[in-house]
Amino acid sequence: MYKGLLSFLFNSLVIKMVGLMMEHEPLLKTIRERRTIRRYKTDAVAMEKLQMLIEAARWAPSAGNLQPWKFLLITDKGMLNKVKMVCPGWIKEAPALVMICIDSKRETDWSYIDVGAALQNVLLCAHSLGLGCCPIGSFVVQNLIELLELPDHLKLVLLILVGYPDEELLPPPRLSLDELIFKRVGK
Amino acid sequence: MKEKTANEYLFEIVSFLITSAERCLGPEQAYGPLRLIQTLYMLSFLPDYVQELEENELLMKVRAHVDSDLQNFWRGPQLKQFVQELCSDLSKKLKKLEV
Repeated sequence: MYKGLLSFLFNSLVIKMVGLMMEHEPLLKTIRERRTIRRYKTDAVAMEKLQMLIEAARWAPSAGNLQPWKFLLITDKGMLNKVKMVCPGWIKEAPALVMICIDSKRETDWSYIDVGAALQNVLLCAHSLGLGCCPIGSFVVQNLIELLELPDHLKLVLLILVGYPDEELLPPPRLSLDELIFKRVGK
Repeated sequence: MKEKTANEYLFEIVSFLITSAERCLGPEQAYGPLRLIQTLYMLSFLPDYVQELEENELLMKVRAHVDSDLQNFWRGPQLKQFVQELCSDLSKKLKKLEV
């Protein structure tokens, strides 16, 4: 019971702390409010907006600053339909698509982590622009290589659907800080 | 949804099934049941394209289920429960079926 009380007090403290941080940290607010969006309005997404997402990705950290990523931006409806047909994980229509590749000419053992950092930048930037995104990992690489005539040195890693959200979502459950932090060493 | 012809829509379903099979042979083996439910979802739109077809109750149930919770319908426990429910509905239909 004593342990439970301590845990309650600690969690209350964390909630207060996060509340305080939210007031002063717009980035944390963006991080906490971002959701994976799977239902989009039919409104077009301008190519300039997609380029802004890549501007955010461009500033992600990468091992040895090798920046192993390469992007494809698609808003053409015909091409979107064709890509969708070879992506079983893509359920509802989306007006725009960002594809992330690793350029094998700049690849290291850490490139997938680098791409993860770039992806998060894209997702946060999209949210701040009022856009929603859904990363998709289910697609047939061979079909997309042939469809988009990708050169051998580009390895397709991830698709990101982009569009204006047509749904409002509640935050999904998250593990508490207490459950996530294995050990605290120091004050 | 109805901007396509019946043949174009059929091609979409065929593409979905081929690419799902490819993925299920690889890293997405566990997604087999989900892809089948997605196929049922796609089939639920067939009457929009083919006049002779009537709306099928089971297919419409799948459509309503998927549309009601895009964020979660594909998750394990929820999917399993829904498939069991569909099987139960199917049994009821089979009992009434005159052969």
